Amino acid sequence: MGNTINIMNNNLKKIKVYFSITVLLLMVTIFSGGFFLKNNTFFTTTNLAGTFNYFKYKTSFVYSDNKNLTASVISIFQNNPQVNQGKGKVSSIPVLLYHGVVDNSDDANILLKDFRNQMFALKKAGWQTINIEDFYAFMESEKELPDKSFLLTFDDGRKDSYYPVDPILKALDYNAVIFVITKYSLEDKSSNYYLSKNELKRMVKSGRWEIEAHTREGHNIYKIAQDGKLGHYHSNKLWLDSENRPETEEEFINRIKTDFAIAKNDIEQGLGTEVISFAFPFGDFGQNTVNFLKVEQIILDAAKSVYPITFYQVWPGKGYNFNYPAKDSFLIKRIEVKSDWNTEALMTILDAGKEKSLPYFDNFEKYRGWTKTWGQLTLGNNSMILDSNASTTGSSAFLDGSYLWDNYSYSANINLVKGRNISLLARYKDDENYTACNFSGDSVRIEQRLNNKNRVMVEIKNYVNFPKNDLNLGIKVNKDKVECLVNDNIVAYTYYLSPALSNGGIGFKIWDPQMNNSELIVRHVSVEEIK
Amino acid sequence: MTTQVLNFVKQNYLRLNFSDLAYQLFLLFLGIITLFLIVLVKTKTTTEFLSDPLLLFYTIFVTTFQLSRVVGAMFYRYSASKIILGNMGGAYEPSVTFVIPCKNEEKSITKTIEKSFETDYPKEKIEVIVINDGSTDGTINVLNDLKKRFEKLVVVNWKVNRGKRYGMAEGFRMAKGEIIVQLDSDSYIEPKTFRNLIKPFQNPQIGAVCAHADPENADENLLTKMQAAYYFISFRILKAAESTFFAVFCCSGCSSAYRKSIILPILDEWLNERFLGLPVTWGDDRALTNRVLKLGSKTIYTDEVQAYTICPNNLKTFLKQQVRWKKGWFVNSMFASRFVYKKQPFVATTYFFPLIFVTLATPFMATRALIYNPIFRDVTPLFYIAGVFLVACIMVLYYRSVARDNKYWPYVFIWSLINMILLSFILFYALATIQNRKWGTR
Repeated sequence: MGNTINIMNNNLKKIKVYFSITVLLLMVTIFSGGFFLKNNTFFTTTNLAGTFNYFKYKTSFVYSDNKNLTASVISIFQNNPQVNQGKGKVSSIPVLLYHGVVDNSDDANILLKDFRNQMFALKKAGWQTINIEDFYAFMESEKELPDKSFLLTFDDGRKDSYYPVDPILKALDYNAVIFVITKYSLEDKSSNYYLSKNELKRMVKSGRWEIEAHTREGHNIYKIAQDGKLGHYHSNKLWLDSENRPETEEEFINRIKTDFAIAKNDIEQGLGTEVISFAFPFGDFGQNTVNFLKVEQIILDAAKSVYPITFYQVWPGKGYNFNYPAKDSFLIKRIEVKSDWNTEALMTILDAGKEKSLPYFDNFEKYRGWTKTWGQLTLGNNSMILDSNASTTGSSAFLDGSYLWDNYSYSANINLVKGRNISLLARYKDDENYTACNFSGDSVRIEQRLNNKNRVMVEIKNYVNFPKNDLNLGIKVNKDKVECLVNDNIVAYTYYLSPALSNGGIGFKIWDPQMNNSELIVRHVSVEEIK
Repeated sequence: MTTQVLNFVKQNYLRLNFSDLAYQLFLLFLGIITLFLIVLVKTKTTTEFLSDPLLLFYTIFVTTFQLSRVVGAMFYRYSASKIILGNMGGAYEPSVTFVIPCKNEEKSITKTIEKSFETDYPKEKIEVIVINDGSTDGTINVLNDLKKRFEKLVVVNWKVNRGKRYGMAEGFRMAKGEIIVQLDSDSYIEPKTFRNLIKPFQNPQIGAVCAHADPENADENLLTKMQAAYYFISFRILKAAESTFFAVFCCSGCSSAYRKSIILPILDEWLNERFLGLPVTWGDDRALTNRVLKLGSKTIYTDEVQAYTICPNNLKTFLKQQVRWKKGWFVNSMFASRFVYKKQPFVATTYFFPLIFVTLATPFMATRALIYNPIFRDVTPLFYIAGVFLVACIMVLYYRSVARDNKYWPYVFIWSLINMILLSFILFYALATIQNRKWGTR
């Protein structure tokens, strides 16, 4: 009996030891495991959802193309979805701008469903994203890029630009640039809205995201006058409450330079990546100023001292949607994708923006890229109508994708319903740079507009009183020579066009001194190259 | 030791067939995943370590404590196998007395007594004592009829109700057997498994043995199914874990066996148990077991004896029973805390005092996580609920591992949910009404 008790108690001792070791191990496991996994990024709901969505997108992308499910599943494991990207070299590149990708859209933020459809459509059409270094090298004419390349950008550095988007990028082998507000993302801690430093690090590590500067703190509106009026940070002198006066010019320059420099530094120090660009908050580099009229050059100079390139959103009048390499191409245009655009709208704009080849003929059966810069433009019914309304005196439009044309003969068949002046624009770069043949009742003028300064090169008065219907007007540009034509007859010419206008596209402009008194119907347009 | 472990593994696992082995490995795999998920849930508190270090220690302590019960239960079979070695001295067949106090049990008492006489044990060594404690129904007539069938049935007939504890004590005093088997009037022991209840008493250190009980009316409704799941956890995991260290704190009143020589000297003290100046009318079984432990005897649980009992089938009775059990737990924990650290220092530090701490803290932490945090701090209660769910998962996985055929395991989740939002708070109701000493059994 005593033997039994001994064995039982000896065993109990062993059990106690094993039990204690097991329980201690459990405790250590939970404790250290908790600390070890504290900074894990893999086992978070957002990441697991992202991985799930990645597979979902990848399957649905392939499946939408190839209804054979087995093939779809297999191709998930291939590196790149099958697409037909352009082989040729490209001469211009569009930059797309988005903000948040959300479940309930508003003006600035697009629905996830729409964003997904747009990206899928782009990929299917052969568009491929590029990174910002390549984009910069391209703009500096240091690098050639394939056809259908584009740069995808997001402003503000918000979480809802990253989490819904990343699985789509991954599935399509795309990458993107995100412009962050460094005060919120890199200086302050844990915001529920803006991406944190750790998140940005992870994004950089994924290779799909490049982090560039949006501002340090200038993304709000600030007091710019004694009466409490508010305005943008980079384009207005702020009101100094403590001293009851506006900033001096020097204080203004110091302030925005500091913002530019710290934003860059925050990212470079915080993430260890190089920053080469800045996206102006609200796309405002001076054009929206309230209290500082000549600010634009000051802002650009200040920005140039810190960044090789800057980004803004295009608006009517700024010319072509795409970016063409140029010396000192400092301001980069972005197409801001509006939340109410469907996929077709985006694709139309991108197709229209691509460079067009000569000869060109357009009878307005389908949209080829005519873009309004002023007034009213109506396309359709095999014609294009430019007219004015109760508050405008005229209108103008240009053909997107015609920027690289140089020596050509451009003619148009028109009806001038009402209005005094009609201009055919050539070598059009933007509303501030072009040449034009301006026809009015009894005179013809050749104009040259350079950096928004208009110069009349030739004026022929009382030459002809041309008919208003079924009229053929034309303009020929060949090197420095400009000729104006009415029904194929040369009515004016000059040999002295500025070399600064050595290339550029075509456009129209009509004008009348009275409001709501101009209307032009264009029936067809043709452009022939001059060898 | 290693050879013993090897033998144990050989005996218990190697004879498994392939399907069983695959099944066990699958559960093990799920267990590892669950453990990993527990760690993952804990990372949520870990991230707030700097601002809330105490909370982290608390949550890890509680989780480890809960898991340690499963670990304890895992050692149970090994520990139990060392209580008696082989078949010492041939047949061990001491005389046995069943003690069955009853009140108004005309419907169920017949089965209880019949099953007691049917036990697989020498008939001449069996005695059954029934104490009719002032029944107002036909119980006494039923008993008189039964007495004609079983001559060794002893019926004590009290005209006036005196209380279960007095009934039990009367039976213990009258018992002729060496071993006393105490049964509730609606419980019985499966006759074929009965010998296993007596076998451990070969070891002189063993003072009490608790049978494994399941509700006989488990399929009645959701409440009984839930209780069936909880009974299994409570016996096969919690009591088994206690039994690993030979210190079961409550040999369940529905079916347990005691060594008479140990019980008799403490009978008076137990009968006159008082708390805050008033006699204690609940937790008789727990009080008796604690007194056995106080003497230094060992108390164990055995899963080799199958007993059945009736569990409450309506919410009111169920809650009343829960309140009684909580009161019994509290009063006897106070009692045991005065000796357990001397008699059972290991059990006291790894189980007894942690249990008291966790039981008392749980309602506060649950209130904090489920009500205070979501409302005032905008912190989601999801991780707390996930933690509770995952611990329940571990319990269920072990449950499935030891009892593949027991079908009530899904109700463990419902039980732990109800436990989280309701039952842990009952403790406070129980404490608030602890001076209410009405004779509350059923």
